[in-house]
Amino acid sequence: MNTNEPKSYSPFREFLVKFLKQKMAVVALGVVVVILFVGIFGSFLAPYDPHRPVTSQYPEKGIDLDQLTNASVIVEGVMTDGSTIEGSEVTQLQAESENRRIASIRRSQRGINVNANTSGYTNATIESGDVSSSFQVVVEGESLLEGKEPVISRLIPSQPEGVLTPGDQFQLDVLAVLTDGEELTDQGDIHELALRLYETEEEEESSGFNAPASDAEAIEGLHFSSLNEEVATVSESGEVTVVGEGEGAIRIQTGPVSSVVQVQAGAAAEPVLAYLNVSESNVTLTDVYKHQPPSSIHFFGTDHQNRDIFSRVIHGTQDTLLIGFVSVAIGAFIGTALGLLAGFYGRWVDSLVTRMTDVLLAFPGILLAIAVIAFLGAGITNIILAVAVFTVPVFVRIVRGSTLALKEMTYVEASRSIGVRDPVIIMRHIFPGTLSVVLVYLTMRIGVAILIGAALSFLGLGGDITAPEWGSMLSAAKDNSSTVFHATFFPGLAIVLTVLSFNILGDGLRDALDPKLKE
Amino acid sequence: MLQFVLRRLVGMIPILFIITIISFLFVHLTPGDPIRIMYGAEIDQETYQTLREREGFNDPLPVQYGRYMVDMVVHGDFGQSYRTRADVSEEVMRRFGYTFVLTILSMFWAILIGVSVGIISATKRNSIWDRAGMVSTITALSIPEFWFGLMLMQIFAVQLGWFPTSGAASPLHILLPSITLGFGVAATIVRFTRSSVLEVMREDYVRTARAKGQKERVVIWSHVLRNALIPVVTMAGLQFGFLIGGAVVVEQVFAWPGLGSYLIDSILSRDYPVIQALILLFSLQFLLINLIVDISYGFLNPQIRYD
Repeated sequence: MNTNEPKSYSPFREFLVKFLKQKMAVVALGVVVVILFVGIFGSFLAPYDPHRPVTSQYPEKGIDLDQLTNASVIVEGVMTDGSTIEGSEVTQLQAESENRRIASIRRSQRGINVNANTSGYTNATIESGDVSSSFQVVVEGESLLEGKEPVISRLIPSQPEGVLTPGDQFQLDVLAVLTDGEELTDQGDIHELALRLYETEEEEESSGFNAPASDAEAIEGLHFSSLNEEVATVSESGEVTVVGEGEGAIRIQTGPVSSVVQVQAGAAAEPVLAYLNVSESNVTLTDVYKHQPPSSIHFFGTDHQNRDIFSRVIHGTQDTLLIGFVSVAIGAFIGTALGLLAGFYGRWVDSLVTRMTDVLLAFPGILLAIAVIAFLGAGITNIILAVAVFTVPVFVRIVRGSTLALKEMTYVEASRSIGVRDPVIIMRHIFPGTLSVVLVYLTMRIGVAILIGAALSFLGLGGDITAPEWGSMLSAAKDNSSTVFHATFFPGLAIVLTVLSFNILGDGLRDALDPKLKE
Repeated sequence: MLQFVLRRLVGMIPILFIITIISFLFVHLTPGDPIRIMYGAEIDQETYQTLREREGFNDPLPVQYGRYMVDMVVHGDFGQSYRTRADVSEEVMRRFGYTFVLTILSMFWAILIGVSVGIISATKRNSIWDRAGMVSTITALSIPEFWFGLMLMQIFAVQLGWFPTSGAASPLHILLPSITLGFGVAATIVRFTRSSVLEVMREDYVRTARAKGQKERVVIWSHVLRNALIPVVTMAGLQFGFLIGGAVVVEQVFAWPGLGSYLIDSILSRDYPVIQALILLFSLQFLLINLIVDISYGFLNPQIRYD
């Protein structure tokens, strides 16, 4: 600063310079402004009505419900000669879901339709004669997808090339594609994975004779069987021996998935279906009726009544800020008035007020508030009053302290000596001096008030437990969504962010206004 | 010393008197007729009058207050719950142990975490550890206990399955609630320990100890901490009262069958005799804790005189 240029001293400028030096506090101020904005315009900002289930709001928002709950999987048949046929041309195409409660499946024109029912995951199998493939359906929602392990989606065998004659021997090569897209080429790996995935209870050897594809049959690991023993036989390790002329085929199977290798000795024959290809081996859908996880249409997911948590958090800002501001305003007003009176007049006024504040301060805020609510009954107005009650003594104490100091100032003595009346002295000469302390405590107490207010409504003392208020949202989540992380996480995060911003802002104001206040 | 204790005890009497009057008036000032709540709204006028007479509601208020005090002080009788008709004092005795164990264990965590982090922050001042410690404490003070508890429950009980979610069936059940409850107080203790240690480290005798070539570890352990931890102990004692307040909320989160959940359940069902007894009990607890803390000042710090 240029010292040659005389500048009038401005306490405000000094405060501003000190305040702006504290980056954290400036950031906190920004966040507080945003929170205030959200609190005021919350009802316009919320994308959904916080009181109604989102499913009933999708039509007006233009969101297609089917898109979330339905998916179609295109099926394609791959023939032994490498050509492909469309799903509609595949004969006897059947599709089945392992767990119909989670997702149901039915055939459609080009493939199959998957329909989500409730959250969880299941495997689905499509089948045509001797070949079958499977894919996984994940329905996101409430339950945790623990142990969701990719399974084998399809087995792709390599077909023998050229014309075979009896006596030929060759090794079958098979590629297993998993539902997560991983490919396994080593037969030992496939075998081990299949053993783990499709554990069977009975240890039963497969007969090998024209084995029909049935779930009842126990197939362990990677299994090879000949569909026509007169033409070709196959060993357990997949070595094929051609024994006679004609049309033969080897079936390769792991659990519910199977494919066919054509063994053609002598005359040429029509290609047969080798395996089925699915356009998607991992179908992800959403359970839209309850506890939707966070997604692009519901940033914070939905709750047990399928209400949009993001909208509820936005709406709840208003109630939360109302509790914080109004209660602290009431508490600060009464507390400051009492503190000024006690500090200025002293004697019995002082001892009465101090004694009362001491008693009140001896109790932890939350219990004092609970006691007030016990008297007045539950409700948001009573929460505000309850929080105000325990805010009063804090301000009494702090304002009384500064009043005692200010009272001894020469200018106060001067104004008294020229006969200024007491109320004028208090309002004109003493109150402005306490203002900076009051302002700091105002900011810091808002954080505390929000915390206590949220705790009270969490305890069910806020009256309306369905209201979109952060504390009651957490209370409802505790009772109804105990397994769902997002339902408890986001409302609490909102509280933490708000309280933290006010606390940091309060610290910053304190350091800038009056560093002596630092405890 | 004895004089001081006596004076403090005498000083408690008017406060106790006010508290008993407030708690006595609870049943009388709150909405709802106690007879109707106890015996149902549909009893006829005659039975109502006899019951009212029998329960003593027709006597003047001072007489009723006298009876209330005699019942309470002489017979240890706190009346009956509207809801369950059970003796309030029995129920309170049963639940008191749960709250007591919970608060003691929470205090243990709070001191353990608070003092160690505070010492590290102070001795490694302005290091990354100090910064991290300070940032975590201001964050911890902004986190609502009930949410912290719910998050612990989500992570360690629901997702990982290491601990039971709620109730009090085994010793393992107390772990999550006590950590939750101790957490907020730990943050306060960290701040306090840090500033106390920093203050002592500026003392002349610490400089002397360093000047004579004492190892830093010895300086910290035997010169700094011994003196720095005295105010921490008293401060921790004062926090006990706030732990009991926090217990009300935390017990509700973890369905811990202590006095706190009893209080909330009673408020929600307007069970006034229970609320009355509990408010009295909680107030008494705070007065006692404050008294004990005041007295312990003297034992810990002989510089303090009681006159």
